[in-house]
Amino acid sequence: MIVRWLCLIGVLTLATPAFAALDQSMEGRWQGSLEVTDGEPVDIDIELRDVDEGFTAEVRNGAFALSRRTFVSTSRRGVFEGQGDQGIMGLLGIAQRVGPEVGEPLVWAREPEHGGLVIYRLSVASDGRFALDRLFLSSEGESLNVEYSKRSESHTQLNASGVLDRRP
Amino acid sequence: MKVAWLASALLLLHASPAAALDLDKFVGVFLGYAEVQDPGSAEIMERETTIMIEPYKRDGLHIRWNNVDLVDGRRDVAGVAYREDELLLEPSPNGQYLIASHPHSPFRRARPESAILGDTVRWGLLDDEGLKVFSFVLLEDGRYELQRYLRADGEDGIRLEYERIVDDDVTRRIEGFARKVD
Repeated sequence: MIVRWLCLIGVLTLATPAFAALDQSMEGRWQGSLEVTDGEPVDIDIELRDVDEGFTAEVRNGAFALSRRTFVSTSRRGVFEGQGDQGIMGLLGIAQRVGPEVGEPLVWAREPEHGGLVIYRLSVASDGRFALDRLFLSSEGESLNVEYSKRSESHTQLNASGVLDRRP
Repeated sequence: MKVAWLASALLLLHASPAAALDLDKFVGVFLGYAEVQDPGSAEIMERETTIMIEPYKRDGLHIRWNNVDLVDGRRDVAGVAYREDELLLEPSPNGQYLIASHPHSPFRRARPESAILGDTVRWGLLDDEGLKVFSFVLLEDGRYELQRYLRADGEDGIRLEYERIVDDDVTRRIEGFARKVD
């Protein structure tokens, strides 16, 4: 009997996503400016908060503006799913199809082996053209290093990077 | 009342899919040759390719292809690699581009496709450059792999371009040409 219970607990443990917490050094509000390749610098404001099921992220200004979104752990270690804008049909589970190819952006994040956090967004526009954003964040003391890239269907790529300061 | 009817008619017109994409020029059998290069490597691999494109349902495409990676320009020696695949594309809900079609099959798993769980997302579009098809997959560690195929309309055939990008790094490029055969 005890062996059965232990097996059951083992199975449940394996089936449940491991809720990874946000690296404490990254939590908070960060502000600064990014240098843009072939462009004017842009101000950016990033807020990261630890929550029970994962973390929240919000990016204000810049090409990667992201409204506050909760990222929850998935069954894949170190990979988080951004809770999306499924629309009423998706939420009710009656959408014929959901996914980035039908206009629902795919937002996800991962924790690289060597630290930091990468947030991604894939969106497909109404004419089929796509934009793929990648935002790599890593903390260093009271600073947050940011590397941003945007890849689009027409090969054009926007790159920006900078160091943000912690704000109260 | 008339205004309400007019408004309804305008709404219906707005919601209708756009005119069908002009895909006819890409329909046919194409035989070609391409060069494969992985950035960082000086080696260029030679590839023979056969592409068969047929209409699929209404305004869709059924693309089948097979590739033979040659060894020293030959296909009858050890080390030659062969691969074949196919893709069904149908119009997107708004009719402006193409999305992969998933015909019902009793052998397919019951759960819906999920990009976050690693299912491949494919779509395509037609523009001034040609027919573009994209394939996106989330890798196990959360990085992404994006493949971009361009089949550009040319004289007597199609110009081929392919790029594979893994987490912002281009890991493979292919360029070639395939001639339409009767």
